[in-house]
Amino acid sequence: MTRLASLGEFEQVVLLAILRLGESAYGVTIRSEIAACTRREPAPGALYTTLDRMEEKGIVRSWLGDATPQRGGRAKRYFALTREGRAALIKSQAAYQSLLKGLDLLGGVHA
Amino acid sequence: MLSPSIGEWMVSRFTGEKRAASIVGDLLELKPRKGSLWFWLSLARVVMAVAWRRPLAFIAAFMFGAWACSGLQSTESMGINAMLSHQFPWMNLFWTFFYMLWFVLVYTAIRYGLRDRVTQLALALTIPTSALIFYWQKPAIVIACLALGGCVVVASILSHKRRRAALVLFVVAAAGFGGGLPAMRLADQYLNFIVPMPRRVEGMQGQIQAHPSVSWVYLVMIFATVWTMTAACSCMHKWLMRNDSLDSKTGSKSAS
Repeated sequence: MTRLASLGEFEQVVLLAILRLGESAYGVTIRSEIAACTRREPAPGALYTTLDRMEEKGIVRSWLGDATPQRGGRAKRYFALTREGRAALIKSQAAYQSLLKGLDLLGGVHA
Repeated sequence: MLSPSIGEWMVSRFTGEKRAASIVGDLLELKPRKGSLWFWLSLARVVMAVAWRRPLAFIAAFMFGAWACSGLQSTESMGINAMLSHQFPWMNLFWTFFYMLWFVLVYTAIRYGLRDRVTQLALALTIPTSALIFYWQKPAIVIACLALGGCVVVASILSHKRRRAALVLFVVAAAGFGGGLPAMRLADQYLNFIVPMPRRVEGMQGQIQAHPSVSWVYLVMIFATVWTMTAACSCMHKWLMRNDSLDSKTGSKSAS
């Protein structure tokens, strides 16, 4: 049995954005999805180093896609979660959920 | 007007070429909306984010090199008699190897992190080597350290990935000897030039040490050796250890 990687907060945000985007997850779309959902635009350096680190850990995989003229003929790098990445994300989110259990943060006594 | 290719070249110095191209492509895609200033500032932030570990690791390794060199001057303080090195000249090789191990450990731990196999191998070899030096008078510890060191070497030869890490360590050590020995020779020539008398003459050592340029010569010597070793470590790590699968892919999802 392999040990699941522990995920930081930003790693989880990036993984959730990739999941939401599905087949069209690459640098630009991941960044705008995070900005739209969290109202915080991630620094480009932070995003790319996080993606590289997660790829090295085997949490995400990437492949090169099509190049467009507006990108100066440079290929897009698409991302998707690996099985290990999905399992690590589920584990992290389950931990959040169990911490939230009993707390009614959205409009309850703890709001 | 600066070309984005210059930015791509800068990013590719610190990451793979195809990765750099895709990063610059992403920024170029947003450039019409956000402007040229945003593009270049973002590129600078990307370069900073991917490159900060390299100068920090170099500075830490350089500082450690300077500290180790001063430690070599007073080996008694490390728990081993300096006479031992005079009696057995091969001990100097062991000392040099010991400092190189620590150097590689400091450099790779900062640059590549503790998960890296070269860092782990350097750590696995540094622990028994350090214990051997500090407890060399206790035979039981010496035997245990030698056995542990032997096990680490055998384990690194048997595993394919660890063998690559061992090769990186070996080349860095060879570069250290290759760069350090000529640097020491040059420094020695310079010392002979400023004080052209045999060193064994009484008071000569103090006269050499009092010369204002001597500490600079040592500093340059350490800098040259550290630079040789870090360059060798970077090249070998990039060649043998880095996951360059993306850069070898041809561009379809099925390839991944």
